[in-house]
Amino acid sequence: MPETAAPSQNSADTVVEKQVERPSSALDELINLIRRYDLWMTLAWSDTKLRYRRTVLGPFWVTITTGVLVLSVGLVYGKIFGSPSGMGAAGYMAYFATGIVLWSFISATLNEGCSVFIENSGLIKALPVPLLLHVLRMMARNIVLFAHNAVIVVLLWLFIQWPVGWSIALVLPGFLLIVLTLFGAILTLGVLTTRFRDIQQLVATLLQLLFLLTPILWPASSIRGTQAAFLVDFNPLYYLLEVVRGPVLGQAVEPRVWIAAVATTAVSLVVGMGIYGRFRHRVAYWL
Amino acid sequence: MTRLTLENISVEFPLYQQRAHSLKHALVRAAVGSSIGKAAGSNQLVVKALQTINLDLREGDRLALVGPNGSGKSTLLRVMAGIYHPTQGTLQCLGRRMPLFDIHSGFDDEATGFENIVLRGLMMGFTRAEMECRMEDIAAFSGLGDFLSLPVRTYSSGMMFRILFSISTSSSADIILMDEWIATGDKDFIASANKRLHDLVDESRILVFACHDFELLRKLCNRAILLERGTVKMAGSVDEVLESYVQAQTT
Repeated sequence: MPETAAPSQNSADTVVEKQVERPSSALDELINLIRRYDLWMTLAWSDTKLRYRRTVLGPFWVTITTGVLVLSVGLVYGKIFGSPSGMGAAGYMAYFATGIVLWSFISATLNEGCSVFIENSGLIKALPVPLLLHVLRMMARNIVLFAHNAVIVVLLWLFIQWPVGWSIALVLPGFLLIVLTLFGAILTLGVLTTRFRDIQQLVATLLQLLFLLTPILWPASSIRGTQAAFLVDFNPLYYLLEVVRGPVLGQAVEPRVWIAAVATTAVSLVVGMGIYGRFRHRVAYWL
Repeated sequence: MTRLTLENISVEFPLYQQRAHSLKHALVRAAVGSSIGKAAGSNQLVVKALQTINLDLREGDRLALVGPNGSGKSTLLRVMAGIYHPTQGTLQCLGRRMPLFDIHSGFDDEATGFENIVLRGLMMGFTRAEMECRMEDIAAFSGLGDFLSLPVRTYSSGMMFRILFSISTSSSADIILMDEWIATGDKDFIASANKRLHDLVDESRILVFACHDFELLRKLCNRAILLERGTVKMAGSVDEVLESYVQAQTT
């Protein structure tokens, strides 16, 4: 005998879209979904747990891989970039570690973001779950992964002990800017990739290129004042990285960097919500 | 007060990478029971799955969807479920909907039966706490016992069905949308599955049921519509519509 007591009106109805008189907007969908954080956080945590089942090292696998990368690149490239930039080998390793951990988060999220709806097509066509759920779940999952990687930076600091001031607290708003920018980007890329499947490949290639053209492997200071300075000045990824990297490394971040980062976030969100709002109902037809 | 209203609902599926070759047009149109044509004002080929459907369902309505394959029954159910937003027209729905088709989605192969119960329940709109409350009932109904602690990739298809069915039917709803009668399984399970589906249907306020089993339709429904190529060819009592359908098929 199935339970006749239906679930509390609030929980089920806010997830299953209830259209009364006026269909809810994309923004309503987002707000309702954020309130149901238990839903996508539980799913993201479950995804993470399951990812490590049947592995030997579990979550440490990720941390160890990143650690090995940081050490090898840090030691080798530290010799090339350490002195000219004035950072020293240790300073370079810290610089690279922070950059690569943030970059891994950004690139993994963007790559997965392209196929976020395609990957969930079965569910999308079976239950009226709001599409944004899949986005939030995927992002939460990648943030957990980022946290695993960030341990490397903490370990490095314990070892090198570079000076860190109270500005370390700025890491949080900085990271929030990155997360919001990624959210907007996924809305755009996820919707467009569902319609034009080769966008995913384009994004993957572009990210590989951007990795080399953004100050991660090489310090930003090394091209200041040269002809190639535009790679830093006009690179939105540089600003997003810098608002977190600066505080972590105990360096002051100029206001113009913050302004550029906030502008990037704003543009990403506006474009993303615009595209999502316009095309979200078409996504099921494109799958 | 439960209600489901469809006003001028049309659904067009875009076909990409298809050229409008007229011979191909004609052949495919003959083979598939839906309309294929061009979207208004563009060169794009579309499948007009539903064309100007109007329906007003109130409490107590048990609607049978009848029609040949490809006539739009499944698409209509999915529009009612909120999965496909109609290309034109409006849908108004008051009440909790339970789509009972495609029960295989939202599952993770590596997760155990218990874990999947929670995951699927979350997708259906319940909180974790609510699913944990229902866990015992669902587990007992599925009859899978200790297997629920194993990852579902170890299950046979019959066992998969048991757990999927148990979760999907674990709560009642105001509006039930069913695409074919989904109770199958071995001798033990099919009896309890049938009973549960019947209970759910009895407790619901509105039922929309697409099926090819005439006896079942006569037993469960009190209204019917005949769909053909995405339009409502006829609406009336179940007997009238079924008769008309049979006549149309034999001529």
